Amino acid sequence: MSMLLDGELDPKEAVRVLDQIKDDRDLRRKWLRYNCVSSVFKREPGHSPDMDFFDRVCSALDHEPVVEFSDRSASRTWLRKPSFAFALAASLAVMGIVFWWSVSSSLNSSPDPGLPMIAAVQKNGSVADGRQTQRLATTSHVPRRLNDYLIMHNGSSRSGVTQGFVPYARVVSYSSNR
Amino acid sequence: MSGLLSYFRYRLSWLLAGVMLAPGVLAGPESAASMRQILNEMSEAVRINNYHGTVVFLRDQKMGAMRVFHAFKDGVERERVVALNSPMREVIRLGKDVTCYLPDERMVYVSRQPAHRSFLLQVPEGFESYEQFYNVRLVGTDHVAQKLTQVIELRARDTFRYGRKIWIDQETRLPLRFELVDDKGVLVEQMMFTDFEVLRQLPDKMLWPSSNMEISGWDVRDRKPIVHVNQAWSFDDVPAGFVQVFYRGSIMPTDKQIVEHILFSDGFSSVSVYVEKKGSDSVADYQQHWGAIHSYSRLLDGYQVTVLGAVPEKTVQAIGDGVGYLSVSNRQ
Repeated sequence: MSMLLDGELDPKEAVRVLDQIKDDRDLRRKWLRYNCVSSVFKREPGHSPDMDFFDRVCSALDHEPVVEFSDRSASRTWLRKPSFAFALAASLAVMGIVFWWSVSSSLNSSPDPGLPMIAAVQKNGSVADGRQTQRLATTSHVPRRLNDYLIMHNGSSRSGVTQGFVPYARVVSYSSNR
Repeated sequence: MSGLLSYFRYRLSWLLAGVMLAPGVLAGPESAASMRQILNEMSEAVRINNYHGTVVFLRDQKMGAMRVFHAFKDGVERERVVALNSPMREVIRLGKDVTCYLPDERMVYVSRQPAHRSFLLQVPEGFESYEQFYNVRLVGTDHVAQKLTQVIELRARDTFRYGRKIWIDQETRLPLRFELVDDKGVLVEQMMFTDFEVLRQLPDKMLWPSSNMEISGWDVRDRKPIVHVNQAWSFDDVPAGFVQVFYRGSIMPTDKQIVEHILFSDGFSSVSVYVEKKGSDSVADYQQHWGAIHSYSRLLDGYQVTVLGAVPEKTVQAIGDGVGYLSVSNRQ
């Protein structure tokens, strides 16, 4: 739900989650709560937190289920994923810090600094908005892998006849267009 | 007096002969051999010279700057490329070992090329074969970083590769400026030295990682090569001129997945094909580009195929769509 709120789901996934919310009363309540909190964080008009807002959020957080990961390295990788970072902001886990971090990240840089700033074209011909696309991209396997692929490719093609330092320059610079 | 005239005539004849034989002057559109020689000399100069300089990089209407250090000692190349603005990335190469430092992500990529790898040796032919796909000509002289350069243009003869212009230092034969242009003549990528120095020897400290690259606690992604005996993939629609340079497999450090990597090149442009088993979050028909690089991903039964390279979109798509099984037995 947090990813949906942050616009990180592709349309198919979004419809699936919305269907689940529609059919589940608890999820509907949670969805409304998330929307409310998101609006407050985004300072949208009509929402101003009262004095005990954060106490109530903390209280709600106490009742949130704890997600555990058995594989330490997997969890570390997972933590770095921007989709998770944005979801985290939406689900209030670290509230203020992540909020400011996420807002400044979304304004100033790509969600994952490791991902190149890219314009994606779905094969049906629709050109997606760059930022939106990157958010979608981070949820799928290939775009995450592109980092690795790009570095592998540049390392391999480095000694091409006229390549010189050019491939490494691409590695060094490829996300500098934030 | 006549002796003096004879002397001047003699010197003038040698001077004229020297000028006539200078590659830049001799080279017209018809002197492909001269172009070949200049490009071969450049290729060697990039490898064996000790130099450092500042390079500006223009792509997608964004500009970046980096410092480049290169040394050649005891037959081993060492190189360091350092970003001068965010993100503060750094690439260090020592022979076949390449380390990419990504401090913003607190991540280090380490890759070791297989010992048998030699791109130059595996490309079967010299520049002659590329002339079928590029019209190579000298277009003039120009100054870059206060050095006199010869400007070589490689105009692509089809739309499967980018054209390029290379500004080659007349003295050292090092490329000081580089441009990639698409088939409409639009500049897609540009790199240029703004200052530049060739030294007899580069101090070792110039080639060390920056002192702030303290990687304790960073995620180190050490990609290990594996040996694949059989290549199981066929490529039906590789554009003319691109030849397969190598096939190899690697174990990805993040998820231990085996990724097969096939590199194609026409000598100037290169394209990588990556094949790995389809994951739960694999995607079909996905295209991206940034700067000169295009990528295209598709699903092939139980596999994800991704094609990536500094080539036009139609090239990665043609190669990607032409991937098929070579044989069932090779797939084991």
